[in-house]
Amino acid sequence: MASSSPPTAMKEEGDYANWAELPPELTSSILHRLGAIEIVENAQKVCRTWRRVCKDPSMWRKIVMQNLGEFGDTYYEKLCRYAVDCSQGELVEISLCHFATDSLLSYVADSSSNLRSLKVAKCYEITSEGLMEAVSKLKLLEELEVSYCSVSGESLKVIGKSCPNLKTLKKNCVGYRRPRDECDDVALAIAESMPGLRHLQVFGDRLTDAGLNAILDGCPNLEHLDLRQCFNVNLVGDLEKRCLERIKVVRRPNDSVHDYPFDATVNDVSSDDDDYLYGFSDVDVMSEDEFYYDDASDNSDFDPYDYY
Amino acid sequence: MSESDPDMMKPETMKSYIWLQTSDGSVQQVEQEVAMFCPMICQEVIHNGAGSSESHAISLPQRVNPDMLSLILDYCRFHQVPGRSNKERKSYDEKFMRMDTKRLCELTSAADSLQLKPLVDITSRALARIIEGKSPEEIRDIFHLPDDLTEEEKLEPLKNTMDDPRIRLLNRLYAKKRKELKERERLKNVEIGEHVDERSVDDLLSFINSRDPKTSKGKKKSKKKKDQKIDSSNDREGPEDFHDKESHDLHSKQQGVEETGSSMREVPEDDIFMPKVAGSEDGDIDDEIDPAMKEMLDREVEDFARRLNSNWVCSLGQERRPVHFSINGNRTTRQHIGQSSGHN
Repeated sequence: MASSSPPTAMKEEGDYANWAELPPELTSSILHRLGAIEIVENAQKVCRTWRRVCKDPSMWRKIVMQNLGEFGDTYYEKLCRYAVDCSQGELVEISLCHFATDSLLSYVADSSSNLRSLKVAKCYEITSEGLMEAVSKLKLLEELEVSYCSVSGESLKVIGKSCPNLKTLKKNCVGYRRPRDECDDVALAIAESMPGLRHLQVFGDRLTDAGLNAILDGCPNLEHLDLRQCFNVNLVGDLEKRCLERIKVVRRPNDSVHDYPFDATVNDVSSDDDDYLYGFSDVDVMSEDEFYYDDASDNSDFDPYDYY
Repeated sequence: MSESDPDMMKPETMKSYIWLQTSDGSVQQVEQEVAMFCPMICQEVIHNGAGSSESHAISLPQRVNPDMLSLILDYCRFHQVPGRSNKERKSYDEKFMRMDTKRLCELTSAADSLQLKPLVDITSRALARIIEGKSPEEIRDIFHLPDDLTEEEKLEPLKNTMDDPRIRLLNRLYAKKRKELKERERLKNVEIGEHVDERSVDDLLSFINSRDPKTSKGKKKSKKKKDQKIDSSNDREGPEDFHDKESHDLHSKQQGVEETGSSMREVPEDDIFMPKVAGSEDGDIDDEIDPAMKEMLDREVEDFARRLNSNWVCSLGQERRPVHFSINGNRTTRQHIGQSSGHN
């Protein structure tokens, strides 16, 4: 071996982990992995150095928050607002699952005109109008996901026209096999207003062949198209050829859902099944909290979950 | 790999070596393909032509001590081999990461200074996993970080919830309690007065307790609990820590006995009580007590607010096992609050 000194390296006094050696950028990237809630509730309260790092706007360029049911919606809303405030307008990417409201979206949109990516999933309180109003302020938006939230074709059209840079759209919902329900509103809205689209995922949508053709007409730059569980689309013959020749990756209606991030249970109800929980899979909607819910609570600011 | 290694002379084993110098001054040779896996070293070799001989060894950054260098080189040696599968690499990484926290910190730092991104990534992830789910105090312990924040800073951002009606109620109750305690001090020598005071304070406390949704069926319940509490509060050391501490504090003022019961407070508030109890001149005591008592009460309000916050937040989510959440303080506290709700 070389002439090195024995590996009892430079130890500080005592036998403890030496965080001090880590530069702020590194501390920042490590703490960022904890997620918004842990950063605000714990990391920020450890010591002065960490607090400085946690309060720096660069920590808040990307916010990912998911309501896992530990606290009520109000808490997540408040925390999200706090996080958005911390970003001081530098917010670039935000992803909210299971708790946002129209007013929160509006708050985000008003303070973050530089937003490039907005994802909302299972935010049952968001209305189509609320979404439209907020998103139409985000002129630089490149990526939008609206999964399992209500958004009409009309709203999508307004969004498309307000966000010329939109390259990725994901609008996912529960797949319908029966009762057969056809609707090209979403498809037509996309075709009319989102010419720059490269990546489109409309899992579970009720579009028909006509809608698909419209999309192919209106979105010449499509590279990735996910049509899984779009059971009204019959991807054969010319239509199939058209898709495959222009688009690099096509996920067909009956393709595997193993890599789909949400529950992919299909709504498949025969007409005499009246009591079926219509619209969303139980697995998605229910959380353990329902079992703990004590309706004797006299707290008026506590919102019970909106279960169907 | 040493200079006098005869193998180095043989043409067949004539590999290229890079010379590296760590901050302690020691120098070593490393196989070129291994060393060049580090972007920082790679740059030095290519742009500055360094590392070709012992006298031109590449000076490694301060944060890379020989121990860490050895680890990093092991990592590089494994990963620079092209044919390996992702599965193999991942498996190696998992085993590689098994080390104590101190070394993990050092390694992260060293890897960062050598710009070895993949290693920085996995070490960062490992550190984040250690931090995850722990309270600020626990984190401070593990990484030996200083406790240099003010109480106020530790309460953020839930301080913003001061406009919450429950917090306002709490403040009002505390104002009332402050008054009560002052009254009590004046009446300290009068046995008769105490009962009445105690009752009203317990009333307050049980009312606050009753805000816990797991048990509360509204205000009526607190009246029932109030009676229970007066009887049992003396004996109970159990889960209802903060409530008991309150009534114990008050008792100690009467009895002049230092309470040993449940204490999760870091502040030795009993000490504050002691001198008060000793003296008996009302006039003097009033003057002395106020600032000290005020300080004590301030701390209690803070503590209360903290606990109420954690209770409040938990209650919003229909309190489940409070595993992750903690504003401040230790796990014991939270668990007690969680359990106490069941005992009301």
